[in-house]
Amino acid sequence: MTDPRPDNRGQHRLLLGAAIAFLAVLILRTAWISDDAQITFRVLENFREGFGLVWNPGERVQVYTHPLWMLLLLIAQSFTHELYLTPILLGLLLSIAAVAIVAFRLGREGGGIIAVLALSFSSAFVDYSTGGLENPLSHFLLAIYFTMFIQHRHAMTPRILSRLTILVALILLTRMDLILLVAPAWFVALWSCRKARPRTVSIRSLVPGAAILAAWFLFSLIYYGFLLPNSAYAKLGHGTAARDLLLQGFLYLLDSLTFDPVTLPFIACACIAAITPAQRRECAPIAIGLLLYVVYTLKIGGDFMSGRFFAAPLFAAAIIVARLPIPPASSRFAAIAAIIIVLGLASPTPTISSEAAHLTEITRWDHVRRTGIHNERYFIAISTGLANMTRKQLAEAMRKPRQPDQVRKVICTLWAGAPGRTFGTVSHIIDPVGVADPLTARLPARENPDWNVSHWERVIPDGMVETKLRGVSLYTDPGVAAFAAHLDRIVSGPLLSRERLRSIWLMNTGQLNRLVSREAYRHPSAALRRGSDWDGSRFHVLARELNLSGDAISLFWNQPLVIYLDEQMYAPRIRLKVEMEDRYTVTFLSGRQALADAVELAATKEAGLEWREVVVPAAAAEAGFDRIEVSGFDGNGGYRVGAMEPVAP
Amino acid sequence: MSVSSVSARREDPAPDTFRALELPLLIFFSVLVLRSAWICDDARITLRVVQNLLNGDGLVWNIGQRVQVYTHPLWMATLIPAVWLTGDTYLTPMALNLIAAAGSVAILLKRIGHQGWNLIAALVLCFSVAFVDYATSGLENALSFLLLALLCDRYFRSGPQTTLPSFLRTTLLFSLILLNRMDLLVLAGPIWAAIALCAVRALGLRRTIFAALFGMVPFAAWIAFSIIYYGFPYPNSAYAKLGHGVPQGEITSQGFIYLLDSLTRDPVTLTAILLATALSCNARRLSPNAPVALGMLLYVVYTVHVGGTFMSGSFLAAPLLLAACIISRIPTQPATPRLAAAAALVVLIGLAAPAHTLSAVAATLPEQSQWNYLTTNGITHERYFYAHANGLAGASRREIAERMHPYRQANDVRRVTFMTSVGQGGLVSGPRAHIIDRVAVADALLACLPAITDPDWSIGHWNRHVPDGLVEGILRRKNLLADTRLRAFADHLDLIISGPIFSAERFQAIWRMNRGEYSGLIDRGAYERPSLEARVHSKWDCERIHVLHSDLSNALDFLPFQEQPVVVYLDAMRNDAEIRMELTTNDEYEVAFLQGRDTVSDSVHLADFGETRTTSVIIKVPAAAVKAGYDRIEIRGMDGKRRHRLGMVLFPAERPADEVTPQP
Repeated sequence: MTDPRPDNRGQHRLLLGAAIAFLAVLILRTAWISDDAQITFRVLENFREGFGLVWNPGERVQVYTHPLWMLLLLIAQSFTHELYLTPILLGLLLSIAAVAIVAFRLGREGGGIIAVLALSFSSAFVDYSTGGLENPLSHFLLAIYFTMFIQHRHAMTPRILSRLTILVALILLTRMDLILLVAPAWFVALWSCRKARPRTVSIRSLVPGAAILAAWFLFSLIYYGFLLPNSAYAKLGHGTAARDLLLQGFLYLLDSLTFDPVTLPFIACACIAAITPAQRRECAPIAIGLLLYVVYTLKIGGDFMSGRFFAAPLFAAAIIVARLPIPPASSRFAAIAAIIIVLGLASPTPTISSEAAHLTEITRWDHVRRTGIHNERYFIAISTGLANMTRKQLAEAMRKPRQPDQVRKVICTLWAGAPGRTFGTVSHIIDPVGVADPLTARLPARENPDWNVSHWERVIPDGMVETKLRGVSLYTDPGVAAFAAHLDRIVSGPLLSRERLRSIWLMNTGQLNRLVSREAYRHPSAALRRGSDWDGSRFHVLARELNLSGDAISLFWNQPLVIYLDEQMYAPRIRLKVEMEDRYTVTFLSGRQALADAVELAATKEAGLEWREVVVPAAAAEAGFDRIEVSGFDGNGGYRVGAMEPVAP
Repeated sequence: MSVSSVSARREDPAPDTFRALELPLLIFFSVLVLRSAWICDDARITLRVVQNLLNGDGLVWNIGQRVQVYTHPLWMATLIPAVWLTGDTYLTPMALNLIAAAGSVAILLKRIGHQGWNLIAALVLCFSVAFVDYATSGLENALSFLLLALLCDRYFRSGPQTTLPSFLRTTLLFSLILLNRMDLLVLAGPIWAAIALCAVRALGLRRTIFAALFGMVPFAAWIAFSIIYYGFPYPNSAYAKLGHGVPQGEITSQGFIYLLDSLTRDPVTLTAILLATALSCNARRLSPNAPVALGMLLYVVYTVHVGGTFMSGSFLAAPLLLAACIISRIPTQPATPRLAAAAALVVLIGLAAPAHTLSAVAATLPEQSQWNYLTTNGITHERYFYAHANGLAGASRREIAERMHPYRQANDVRRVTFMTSVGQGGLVSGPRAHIIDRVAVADALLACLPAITDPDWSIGHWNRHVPDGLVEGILRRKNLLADTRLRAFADHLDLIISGPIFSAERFQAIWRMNRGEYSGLIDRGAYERPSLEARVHSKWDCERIHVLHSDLSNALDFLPFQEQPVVVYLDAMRNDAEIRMELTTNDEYEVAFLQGRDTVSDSVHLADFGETRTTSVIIKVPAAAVKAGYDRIEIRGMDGKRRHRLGMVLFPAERPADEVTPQP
């Protein structure tokens, strides 16, 4: 039911355009890049450098959950050659296009304006319209999908069903769990089509969509060895009790209600509106889909990014509300708009606030809450917010991050995104949360009553770091060693070898699960825990690689560097290249065991990398050491460690 | 079509629009309540009673003493099956509160109010800090809202055709309101009286009296149960809060300060009450709202008379609901511009509150900031004060789990301890802790004593002097009060609250106690203005955790303590030169040896042994203490913030042979 008078229609379209422009301004003011998006960016950078779609070169692991979004970024990046403004602008354009489709194609009278207003005052929608994640593409595809569904709801043809199926496939390739949101409408479309047409016609129309999905799954299975992204195994195989997850999911809901009071009430109202007799026929399937998605969010414990999982259901709710015939000049319209604005302003961080642009290193922590749920944009904005950028920072963000050194090392980090890009392709990054590591993703999370949602930390198996350093299996747990051998064949072996395909089969059918004792990693022994913590809090490098590179390793986060020797050394003295103006301690180890007290290296007044001679404590020289740990302290923080060599007696 | 009908139609703001806004407004209210959901400390007093009942120890605060520490029998009765089913004492009361509060607003919107104005009335409730805060809180308020909304609905629907069953149901409802909170008699009484008057006209006096008596059976049954089980018709808190002995003038002025506090922190509430009063005044004829307005005003007067309370706005939430009922029934045509202006005004006044209902600040408040919400006149914004400790929004999973099952954290060492926030402490300490509440809400003997004269008294928190011998008497289960007349009084009281329920002596004691025949045994002057020595003794007792040596030795658990030192009461005077004590070894301690409350030697300092575990240490008792003898040992943790733990205290004869002497 559209407004019959053309002059009113013109005014109405003008109002809609103004509302969408307002939303565009809000999105641009709050534009940012999340840490998780930078995981995908590292994959794209690796691809450009010829390493393939991988996280660590040499390991084919699908660390991204959004193949289509990754593909879109890949294409865009090939034109722009940068990964800061490109994802932001792409997000902005797709979000605005999605909203415009809903407002202009589906909107009835003032319903469209109400929908745009709600999206404008929803922190979830505005925050994740940029952020570098797949949300804008999801919204764009959902807009096309539901527009097509609603417009042809009463006359569903095999051709439309075919297009809808293709869209479902594309939506799933953007984010798999959106299946819950779109499936009810798709089933209704299928049912309507089957009632009107012969069964074969309906089934034939599913082929193109199914082919797109099958092509991706085939590629994923052959290239990566798995059907699902690595993060799915990491985030679903953690072993946390369903009841705890449900409670965390409830906290996620409550967090949204508290800090983003527009989103969930708007979804609730849209669901109620969808079951009214006038809307039921076209909107009820959408409402069922969004309810399923909210329940799913509750079940998986939500996410650590406040509101992110409610952005897509909110967008679906906006579609329902856009269909409501609310006259723009009516008191009902004014009342609903007023409620949305008042609720929007009730958020401590309303979308129209520019506070994020003025946050400091200290105040950003106010946005990390005891629930483990963060206002991620506010937390990250200080480093990646567009409004926070100086000219120089913007130029740096648009370049590929400058890598501090060219020495191959192993690093363990819980925050994989930004560090992953900073350390570049020469470093092998182990992610104990499992998102970016195929082995830890398949271990259960270590028992921790204070677990953080989406950050289920695993124990790093004993020997894993040295295995990655030396390229030979040095796992002390024979079960893990056998499991890792299959995994290594899958992620690093020749693509089409028979052994690899067999390992893929064995792994995906769960036949290798028995090799790993879940209990040992869920409730690790004190020794295993200590070893994992020790490995996780250091940089690791092979002495020969350090010496060959001619470069020095920068010690970030005040983490010590462990230099692994090829054999036991008994030298009474060694020489070490270090940054002269800092102080260091050097410890000689056998395995993780210190053989003697640390030796301290004093600082000099001059800066620069120079050789320093270190006298090995007698106990260490006598027992023989195979690792040297170097820690920097009491300097300007720019600790650097270069080559190491023994001094002949 | 006449001109007037056209203009009326133009003014008619489409009833469908108003109807369409009712549900969103109810959702809006529910969201506000859920965002601000919390449990106040006083609610946890009731929850400890519920836990004790479910553990089989009766409806009591301290096991073995039948004292009614709660003021809301009906709310308590609602909590019992709910907590029994869920086993949770945090989310369950909140959920029940939310359902009841949302129910009251739904009744206001759908049944009481006229279309249009009902939205304004609901908006008033949404922007009232008092109403939203006490829509949860774990107290009885939300249930009161629901019952009062039902009573108002019955009143506005009652007429000359009142039937006997209908009046009976109304009286039953009235009875439940009184069971939920007795002082609501002032609020609901005029409304019930107005309905009763209609009933007299319709049914005749005799049938009305019959129905009224029959309807009041639940309330009468409760009073009978209360007298038989507890020995008193009223809750202990009533004696504690009304028998303080402070002059009425001071109380009334505090009552006015309470109203002023509400105006400052929550401008919507009193403004709406005033508006409702104005709306009910009609010089020409009696307004149909008059009984509702009368109840509302009487309750405000009563609030001023009792000095209000320390919880900002809590006493004004129920009258506000009646005010909302009156506003929702404004008889004029609800034209859209007028409604829009009214709504804007409500929102504007609501946002003038420093901590308005839309704010989410409470969810991110750090613990230290709670004191910002306590004013010098003793009135707190209680929800903000407890937001970090008891607020739902912002709480972590672990915090919620701990709050849901606080009794699981309890340990089994029988002890006597003093607390100011007895609710939270009472739940976490568990059933084996005998908790004495200095403001006497939870202690029968202290409630019978007058409050200590203090010009800076704080409303609702009238401190009592702790009589000498009370603590040791509780520990040793004997009456050891030093004041002989008070000892006689306590004997009677003990018979009432701890003696066999159905003994003739007990009923005689109940009768005489309630008639005030024992009051002469209390030297009020001595307890209003205690001597310096008595004050010092009382302070000494209040600042310590007291435990009997035999109870500590027989317990399965260690006794946790922080700032407060632990005093171990020995069975006899000891002269042993060595004792063994189980303690956490990563803390520093001082051990003192006492005779009564006096130290008999220097303290022994125990150094930090480094490792976090619990172990036995052997302590050399100073020679002076060995020579003089000691009957109490005081153990004090030197770092007040840390959680220390004390296990058994053994004398040489009780020591196993294989123990190692640690470093001093």
